[in-house]
Amino acid sequence: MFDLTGAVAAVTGGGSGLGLAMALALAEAGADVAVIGRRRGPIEEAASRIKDLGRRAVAAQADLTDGTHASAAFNQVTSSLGPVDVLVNNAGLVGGQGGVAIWDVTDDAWRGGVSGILDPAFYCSRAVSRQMCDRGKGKIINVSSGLGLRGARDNYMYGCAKGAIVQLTRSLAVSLGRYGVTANCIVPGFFPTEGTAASPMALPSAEFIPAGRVGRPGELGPLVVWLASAASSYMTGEVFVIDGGGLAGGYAPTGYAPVMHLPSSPARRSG
Amino acid sequence: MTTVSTPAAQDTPLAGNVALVPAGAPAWTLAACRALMQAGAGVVLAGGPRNALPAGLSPSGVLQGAFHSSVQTDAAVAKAVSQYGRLDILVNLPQHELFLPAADLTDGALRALLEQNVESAYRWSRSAGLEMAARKRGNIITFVSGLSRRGLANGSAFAMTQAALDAMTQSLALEWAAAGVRANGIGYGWVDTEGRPIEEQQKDRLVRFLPLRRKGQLEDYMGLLVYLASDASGFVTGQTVFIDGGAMVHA
Repeated sequence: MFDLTGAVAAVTGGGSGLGLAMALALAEAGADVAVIGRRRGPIEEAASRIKDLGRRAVAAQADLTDGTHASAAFNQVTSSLGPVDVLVNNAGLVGGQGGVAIWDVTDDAWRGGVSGILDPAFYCSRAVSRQMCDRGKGKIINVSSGLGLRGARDNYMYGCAKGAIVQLTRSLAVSLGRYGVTANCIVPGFFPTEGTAASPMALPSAEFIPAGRVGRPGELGPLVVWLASAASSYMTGEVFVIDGGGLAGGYAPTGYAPVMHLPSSPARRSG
Repeated sequence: MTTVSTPAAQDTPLAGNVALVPAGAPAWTLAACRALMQAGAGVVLAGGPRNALPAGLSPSGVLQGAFHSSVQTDAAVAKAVSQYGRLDILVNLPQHELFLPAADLTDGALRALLEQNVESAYRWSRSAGLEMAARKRGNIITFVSGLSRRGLANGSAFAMTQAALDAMTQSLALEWAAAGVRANGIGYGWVDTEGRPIEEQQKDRLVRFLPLRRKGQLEDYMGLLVYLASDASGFVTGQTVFIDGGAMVHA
């Protein structure tokens, strides 16, 4: 049911961090995997690790914030591995989008911050969707963020772009569903990676996460495999949160747990 | 097309309307009755013993008694209509908050909370709504905590009752829309009913967490109550609108 043998998956930003974890999980489930990214070193290393698992792999270097580059990358992937069955839109330039008061956000910072996250998801979805629809099957898996669902102080570009990715998921689902193509969205909570370590957006202390700890990148694997597999074939347009319980709360500080009893004679108070 | 005035455009947007208000938590009951009366509505308070009425509040009528069954709420609605000629508005007020570890919640406390927060509102809504539907006009307003949509440790039972009220509002809105009866929710956040100064409130970690850095006051909710009760909101139904100082959007 979760077997991906013979499927071709493409993971953008798959050379490191959560993208690498998802690429390896898809390969372990049987998929051949294209790793698309900006930096040649990490994507080639990732492709090599996937080949070590006995799958086919290709590393495609591309600047996915450019639509022409994105299309060219998917042409390369298709000619190497065949048509893409599963697209994981994980790539996004993170850094410099938070911690700045709105009046200090320049036009360039705004445009660059939003497009660096949102554009790759749109361009890559556009690049694969015609072929998916022609073949009558395909799975698009987008990666958003808790900050795409809730607000955070002095955070504009990241939250807006990640919120837009949720909406992109819904538009793709409604538009492509009739062709047998599904689109779903993963909302990871806090998963430390080498990328987040370099980001100015501070990760919260584990005490603010109901599970009492941050996520481990490998914990995204089973979720992406499920969303890539036939096991989720009737699920589309949905948002799947994997965050140790953070978004289940949010109406009070984590750990806030009031105690308040009923009045002594409650039956008289039904009015 | 009928002309609709906004509440601000007239002093008494609810003039000529009769509102039935089953008593809830005392501070909420007082504030809601006053707001409705100031807006021109006649208010019929149900369930509160007369000697427990707050000073300065003189509603048009008081229906005293126990309201533990639909027979009793049906009779109360019929009495309100016969005495005051009409029934336009029902307000389901906040009733009881209960925060306990799930492990400590007795079956009896759970049943009592469901009865007081959910089943009572359902009976009043059905009794009043059927009367309103027969008259092709009416408006049911239910207070719903934001915990209907967010989890809280020790809040499992209370949050469950609030989600039930939210769901009831949406379904009744659809069931009775064609009959001219609207159903909406007023979503409330953390509210200070005692009027504590903001500086004192902000000693609490909870208050510092809220985007507006204070708890809600009863007055924060009364404009929405009057708006939803009036014809100015005639195209609004099935909605729960949250006034919570930004808590719902907080990451």
